[in-house]
Amino acid sequence: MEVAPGEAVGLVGETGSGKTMTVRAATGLLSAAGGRVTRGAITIDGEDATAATEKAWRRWQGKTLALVPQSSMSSLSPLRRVRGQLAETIRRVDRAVDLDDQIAGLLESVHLPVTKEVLDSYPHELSGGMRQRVMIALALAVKPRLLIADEPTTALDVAIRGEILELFGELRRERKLALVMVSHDISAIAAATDRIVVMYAGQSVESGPTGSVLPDPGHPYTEALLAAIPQRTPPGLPLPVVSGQPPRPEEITIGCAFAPRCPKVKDACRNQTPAPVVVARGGQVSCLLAHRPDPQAPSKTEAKVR
Amino acid sequence: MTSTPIAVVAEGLDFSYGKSQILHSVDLEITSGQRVGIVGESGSGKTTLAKLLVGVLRSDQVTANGRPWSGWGRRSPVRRAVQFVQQDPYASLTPQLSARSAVAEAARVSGQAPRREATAQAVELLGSVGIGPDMAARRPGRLSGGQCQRVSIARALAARPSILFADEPTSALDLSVQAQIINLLLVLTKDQGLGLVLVSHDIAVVRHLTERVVVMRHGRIVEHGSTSDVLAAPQHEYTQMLCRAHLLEEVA
Repeated sequence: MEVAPGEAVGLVGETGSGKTMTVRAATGLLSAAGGRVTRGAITIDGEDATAATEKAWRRWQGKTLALVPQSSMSSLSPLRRVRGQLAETIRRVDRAVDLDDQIAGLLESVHLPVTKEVLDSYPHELSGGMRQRVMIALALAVKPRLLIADEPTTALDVAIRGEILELFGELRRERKLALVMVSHDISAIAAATDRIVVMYAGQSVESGPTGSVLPDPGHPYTEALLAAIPQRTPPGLPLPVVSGQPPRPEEITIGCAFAPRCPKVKDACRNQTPAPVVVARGGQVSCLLAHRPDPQAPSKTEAKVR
Repeated sequence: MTSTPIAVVAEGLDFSYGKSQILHSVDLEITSGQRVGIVGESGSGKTTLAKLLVGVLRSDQVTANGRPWSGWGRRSPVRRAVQFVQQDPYASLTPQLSARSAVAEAARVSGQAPRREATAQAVELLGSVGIGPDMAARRPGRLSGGQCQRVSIARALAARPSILFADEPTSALDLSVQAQIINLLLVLTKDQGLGLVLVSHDIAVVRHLTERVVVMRHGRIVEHGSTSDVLAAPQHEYTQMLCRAHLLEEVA
């Protein structure tokens, strides 16, 4: 996958599909998690980051990219007040700045009131939405050009979720910030991103413009994932569920990783690894059936119930 | 499912933690066999209300079959008939107990199975929620979030309840696992007649699983009616906002 300056990309897939691992690789946190790159490359602004040293990564982490981790409660220090958390990050990037000025600016940009009450709060004294804003303020403290947010809205309720998504939109417009949003919340992805990448079993199986992939998914996995959205089934009826589990990493051998669960599987899928195919509505689909759509196929809205 | 008919009633219910009043004169009646959603934003008091209704928190303004929870003994069928599935599936299971032991323990403590039969019954219950025998031997740390949630549900079912209270049972799960849990709850409620009280801020899940909905805001019930009516023509501003967010998702 790639992200252009100012672009917003959504990364979706079920738990264990490799979303968070992808984010770690792209932010230099792979080795800390005990992983390493075995093939392919990570490129940042044309520079090869695949084998970059900790020091080189720190330079990128300090100004090019910033991560908003998944759990605000466990990523903020429980022992430090909001002011202290922000001050530490700001100083790490720039020792010369006026701290109070910077802190006020950051809080304002995430629409938190610059009051003693907020500045002196410990993380547990803030609501979930406020903590998420503090996390985003911390990420912005390094003045990144790319913000990577891992499940930024999952723990939030509808109203707060809307506000956080609005905030991302505003930051993109005002700071020309690029955004990668990892989420299993499809409606958040729909609202906040230009392009979508769907992952399954550690691979990108489909990508393309968000506005065309969601109404017209090209990969049977994407189709199955979208069919599980409750709104797409009348109340009280069972939701379409793909039987089986995603494969464990050691189980992926030859053929399409989704073949064992795929409702449209053909013999060829089991012994031929699908290459990405460029599709007419924009984007790529890694499925052997992708380039020859069946005109007799049922429409996308009539998902099969099993 | 053998079940004790039950009616849990909150009448003019006020509740405070210390100085902060969480609930303001809440009136609500829930009887076995009903499927009710309680929706509202964080801090609206919906989880507190659920905890009071199941008797985890005590108030004399809440009665079960006509008597406050404090008036029912630990082993009474009325206590057993109301079970609670908490929000975080990892936090609500004991890390040292296998899924099988956790469910067997619940069956034994609730008097539904003698010690000798408890394990066999646990394996059967776990099977009915889609946890096979080899998975049943695992501890929570070796189960996924969705599997832990199934174990929590099986553990609640071990007491053979009439009403299951579930606090955000799917909010920590991804779409495909959420769909599996929704389908499981549909089978338990619609096919097997189990009552369900679903506490959630996800109006799509509530719409799918319930026939009646209670909307809470700042500790008060602001709207209450049949789920289809309320969602089709929301009266309160907050419900309208929830439904707008819901429409946004239908576009997705």
